[in-house]
Amino acid sequence: MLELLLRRLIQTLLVLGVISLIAFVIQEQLGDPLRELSGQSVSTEERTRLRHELGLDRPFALRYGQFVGRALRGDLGHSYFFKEPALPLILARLPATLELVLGATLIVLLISVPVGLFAAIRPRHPLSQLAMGLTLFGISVPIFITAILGIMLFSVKLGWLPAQGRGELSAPFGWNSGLFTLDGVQHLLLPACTLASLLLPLFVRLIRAEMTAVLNQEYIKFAWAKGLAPGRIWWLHAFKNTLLPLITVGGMQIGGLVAYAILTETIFQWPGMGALFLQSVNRADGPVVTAYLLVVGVIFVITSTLVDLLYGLVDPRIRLSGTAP
Amino acid sequence: MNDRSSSLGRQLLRAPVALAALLLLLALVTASLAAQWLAPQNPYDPASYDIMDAQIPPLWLAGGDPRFLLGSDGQGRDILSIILHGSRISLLIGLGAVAVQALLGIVIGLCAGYGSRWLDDLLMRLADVQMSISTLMIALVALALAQSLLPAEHYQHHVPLLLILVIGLAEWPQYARTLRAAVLAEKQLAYVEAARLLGFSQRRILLRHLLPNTLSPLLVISTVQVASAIMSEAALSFLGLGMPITRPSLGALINSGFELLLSGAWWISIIPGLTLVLLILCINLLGDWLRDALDPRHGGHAP
Amino acid sequence: MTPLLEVDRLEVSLGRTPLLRQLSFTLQAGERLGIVGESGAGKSMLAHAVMNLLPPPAHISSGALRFMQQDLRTLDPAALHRLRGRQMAMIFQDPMMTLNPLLTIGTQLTECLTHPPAGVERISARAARVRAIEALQEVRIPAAASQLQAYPHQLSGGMRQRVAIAIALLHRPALLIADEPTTALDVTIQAEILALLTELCTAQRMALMLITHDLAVLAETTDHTLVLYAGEAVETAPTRALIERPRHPYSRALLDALPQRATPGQPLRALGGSMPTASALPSGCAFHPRCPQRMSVCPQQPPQWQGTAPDRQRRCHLPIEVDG
Repeated sequence: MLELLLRRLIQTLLVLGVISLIAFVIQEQLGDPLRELSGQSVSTEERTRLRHELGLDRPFALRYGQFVGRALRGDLGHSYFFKEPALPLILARLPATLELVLGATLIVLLISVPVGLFAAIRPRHPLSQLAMGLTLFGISVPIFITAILGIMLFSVKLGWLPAQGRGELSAPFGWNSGLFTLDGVQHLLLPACTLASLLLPLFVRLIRAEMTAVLNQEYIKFAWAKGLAPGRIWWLHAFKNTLLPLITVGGMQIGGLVAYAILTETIFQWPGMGALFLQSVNRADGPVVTAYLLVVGVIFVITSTLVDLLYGLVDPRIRLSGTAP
Repeated sequence: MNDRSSSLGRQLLRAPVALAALLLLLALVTASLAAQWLAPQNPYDPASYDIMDAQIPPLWLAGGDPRFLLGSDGQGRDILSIILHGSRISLLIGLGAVAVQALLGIVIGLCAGYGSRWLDDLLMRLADVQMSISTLMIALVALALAQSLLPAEHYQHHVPLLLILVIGLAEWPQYARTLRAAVLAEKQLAYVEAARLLGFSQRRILLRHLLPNTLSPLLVISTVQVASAIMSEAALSFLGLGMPITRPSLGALINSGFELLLSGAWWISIIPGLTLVLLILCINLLGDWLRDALDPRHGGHAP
Repeated sequence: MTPLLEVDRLEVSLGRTPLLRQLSFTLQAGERLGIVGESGAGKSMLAHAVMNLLPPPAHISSGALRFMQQDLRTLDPAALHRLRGRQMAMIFQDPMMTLNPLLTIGTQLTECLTHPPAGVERISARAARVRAIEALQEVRIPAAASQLQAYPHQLSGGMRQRVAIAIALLHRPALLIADEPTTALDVTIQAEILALLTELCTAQRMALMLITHDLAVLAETTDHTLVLYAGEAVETAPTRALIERPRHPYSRALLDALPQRATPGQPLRALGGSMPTASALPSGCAFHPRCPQRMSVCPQQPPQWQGTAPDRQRRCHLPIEVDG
């Protein structure tokens, strides 16, 4: 177990190192800091002087080193657009994105698990066939189309749900949250469902396929032969073994979830990190782009590690020996 | 090969859903390729449309106009025409991106499967990392860089090529892993050993023996990848980073209609949206059928 | 004495194709029956049919199955499920596959007692644990108490099969079905497991239905043997008699093919050809294409049962030889 964590740590440092390098290169190329700082028209001598002052004429390695040094202290530069420190700008919007992503994940799990399990246990039931047909349809509908259809139906035609913004916020635990007000939750529903629709078809199919494979295993037959309570067979024996591939695939989807959160936030004008990132990309606001990439990189590494730990918790073969059988 | 393709053909005729998907797909593709002749209007020629004709609803609604069968957009352009032209762009970019992915992925997959253990580990590590970063993210960052490095007109002009390259470079891992798996499986088989013993060169074994037998799985993932590439391009164009509204693909068109959604001109987004969905659905249905037909375990015809 | 298990003209089919045809035999309490035949003969199907574990779409298409005088075919699923594990139990070929890799041995033992189906009495976790340790000791697993925390992958193949047997025997069933219990084990372990089975069956007065393709396994462990070929029974005899004087040409060929029977320096006497599949049965006697004593009537008519005693019969057209 210790060995696993150590290996993880090294991998983490490597990944963060690569991300920081890419982020640094992007920051240098995106937008012109000189122009932003000193206005449009500036003489060549001024430019050269500014370049020297800002250290932009030093060798690459040195500049990168400085960048890392500042980053470790939390200084990721100032946004060209907002004229404010970049990192706090991104972090201020982190709760909004997290609530969106967590809401979507919850919806995915709450729907895909029962549907997938049912489709595996009763494959010939008409509801199972319907569910499978819907998933094929689901993977063919791009997420922004789902969003548009959702807005058309629930916002424009029916007027049940709002289509923009986060609604009324409250801060019972210290951060601005939309989870504790009815208005906030109403605003969360459409975006979270839209984001969930990205993963829902995949997970329903995955759970059904894995559960079907597990149900065909000998140990399930043996569990029946033992005369166990059927409920226990479905849950503890069958479903628990389904968790492993579920965790693996789920872990691989985190990247997609984060990326498509950008799209979702943009469509619904959800004030999260992703929306700010896209706007900054369009505005060539380098420091904010960098800040976003680094924050996302850290989140990614943390969640990857958590997924690995979770996997080890479920599979005793990994927990005890540290490596897969 | 003849034997297999004719039996595949016969199987297709017996699967009504896949057949319908294929026919619909062919219809869409032909219509889009023949856009120049089929479209009632040329949406790229500013002289052929008039802002006064903006936001006319489709023919079957009140206020419809026979000149605009599916309605007109915010600039007065005919939606049907844009859909035809836009589908062509979407298809071309999708196919182009898959060509790039396939080429890159096949080469890397061959190297990994046939090369040294160390090389294999390295390449597969790389593939894993790249697969966990979403294509959308890679594309966003790459396009952002391109936008800031190239002057505006350059960028606009080269957007289709950039999209093909970016989506292609982002998705090679799928092909690489599939090919590598197939190569590793085939390598074990006796005929490769026999060919080697008979003195055939590595390259000949590769090209004449291995490659034809790995074709099946490649074909299957190609359909999925085309659908995925089309979706990626649509998403990027929808976000404003892909095809511009002056030369719109389906995604760009949907984007242009988005703000007008709440004010009632729903057809500008919804109708091209449904076309996009139809296109992708047909490709996916075909891909599903192909996978079942080519998989010997599912009762398809084995090679 | 009423038999424990009565199988009367049982037929198991997959769709329309019969996999087992006209199978009839009885099993008395405490009796040890061996079912032998090549792979694909239908032996496993029989075991699964008795336990009502046939994988759909396979199903019992006709015939009767009576266990402890209850008609298994008309019993409702819940009642059938209550029989399993309690009155009749089964162990399978590969214990690595039959034990759930994610649960401890202890859990897989105690849950039979703490999580029975509806209508059966539950036992407390503590009592179940005590019982589990006893069960492990019965099958001679050392340090039983500490093994409760072990996972299947931490045990050897032989130990895993012992655990499976322990689980099967928890409720002292009247019938134990062992489907190729030693096939996946090393030869040295095979003997141990077979000896264990014999001992437990005798001690608990349990009936045993031992399924195997290996005749050598039968000799020590069974009283009576049924030989299956292509889904049908072709010979039934006390095991000793079958091994010493097989009457059906197929039984004879099976015995001749054993390496122990081979003459050093001579080629092994393997039987040519292969067993037909259920969908491609030959006409008349299913064995006739491979039979060294084939006669002209064999392809034309299926043979009838003939024999010198009720428990010593075979299905063949050949005239009965009286053997001394």
